[in-house]
Amino acid sequence: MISARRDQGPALLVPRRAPYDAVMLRVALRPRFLGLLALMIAATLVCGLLATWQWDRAHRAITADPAEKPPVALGEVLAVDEPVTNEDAGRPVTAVGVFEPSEQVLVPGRRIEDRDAVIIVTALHVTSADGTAARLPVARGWMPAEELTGADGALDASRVPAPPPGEVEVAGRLEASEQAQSGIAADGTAAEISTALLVNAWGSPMYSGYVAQTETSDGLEPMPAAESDFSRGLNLQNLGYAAQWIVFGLFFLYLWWRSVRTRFLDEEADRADVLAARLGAAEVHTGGSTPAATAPAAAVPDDVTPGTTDTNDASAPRGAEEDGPR
Amino acid sequence: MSTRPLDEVQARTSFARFRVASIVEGIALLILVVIMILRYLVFPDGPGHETWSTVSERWSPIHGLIYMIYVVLGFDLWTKMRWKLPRMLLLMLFGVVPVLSFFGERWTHGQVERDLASRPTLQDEERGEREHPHA
Repeated sequence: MISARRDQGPALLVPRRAPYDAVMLRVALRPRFLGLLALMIAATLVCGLLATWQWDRAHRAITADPAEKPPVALGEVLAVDEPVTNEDAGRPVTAVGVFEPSEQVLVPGRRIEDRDAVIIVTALHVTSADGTAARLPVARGWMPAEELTGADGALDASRVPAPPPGEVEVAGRLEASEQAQSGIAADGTAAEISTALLVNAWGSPMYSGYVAQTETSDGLEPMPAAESDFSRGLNLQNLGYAAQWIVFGLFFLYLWWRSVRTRFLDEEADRADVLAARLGAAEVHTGGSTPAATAPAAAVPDDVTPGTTDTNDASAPRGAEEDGPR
Repeated sequence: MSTRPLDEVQARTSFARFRVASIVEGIALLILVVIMILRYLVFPDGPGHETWSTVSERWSPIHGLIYMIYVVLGFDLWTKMRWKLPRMLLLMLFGVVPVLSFFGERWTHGQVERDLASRPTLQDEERGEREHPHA
């Protein structure tokens, strides 16, 4: 009998227990951890909602094309002192007024239809319903740079077709003013269509945006569709945010998992410590003989998982092994 | 608490990185707050609004990245110290309240030193070995 027990001794030094995952699961299902899980799931759901919101914004930016709205009179969408909003940029408008040929700038250095282009911007004097007059910069169209270049290689403003005289109706897309980075050069060229620049040269009051003519009759090419930097940026930025929120949401669940694992590892280490301490103590008491043979069943601490030992299975107290030593 | 020992060296290295991230995040967040004030309160309209809107659109993603790095380094410290879940949420919170991250970093430092002094660590065992070498 004793020798049989002696043979089973070494097995007890490496405690066999229930499968690893099952024990982790037991830790995970404790009230405290279930409560934390509920909290983390709530956080993940919030992140999911925010991700959906951003995704919608990105989607809307791609599909809502302002250029497809019906044309309206300028006065209905823009007042003189307002900037062109991101929603209005690109929408078709009409304006009625008189061109002032002396108020004109050339904007070279553009690439349109794979050619070097110069945009012609002329002031349209508009009278609004309440009688106030304001200037509206109109990008009347563009010309290939070589048609404008004179014999001396410089741009020749006199080659630009004159604007139609008298009161005209201009139809085109409303665009936001470009950012001015330099001033108007002496030869009447500017690098940007910027109302801040033009108002200094032509005078105020002036609308804070311009109209890009899409149908011209004065010999200039019509303005191409301006791809709004804003709407392009918006959908990329929002997709980025959506992805971030998803990662964030998953992170909360991962945090919970790591807490469960840390707790499990701590308890496992503590159980091993307790077992080693008791085995060590038993060895001292029994002078080296197999501890399991002499330790009575009841002395197996009930904080050790059942299934730890073969021999003690029948008698080891079950249950109440959930809480390890603290 | 558990007897499973912490690694002091790893914990302190991790805290050093977290401290840098805390300070950087604190500054980045303050910059974001200032930009928002300028964009919405000081220049609600006009050309100034456009400028600050653009600045804010550029800075927001940069700050987002800084915060993510802060959270990752905070997570690394949290794992090394084997703290409980609510503390990780606290570390994340420190990074989103302006100015709080500086105080949070001080508090965290206190917690790290306190825990390393009171909980068993690998270095304890080394010190123990040196003072009382196994015969």
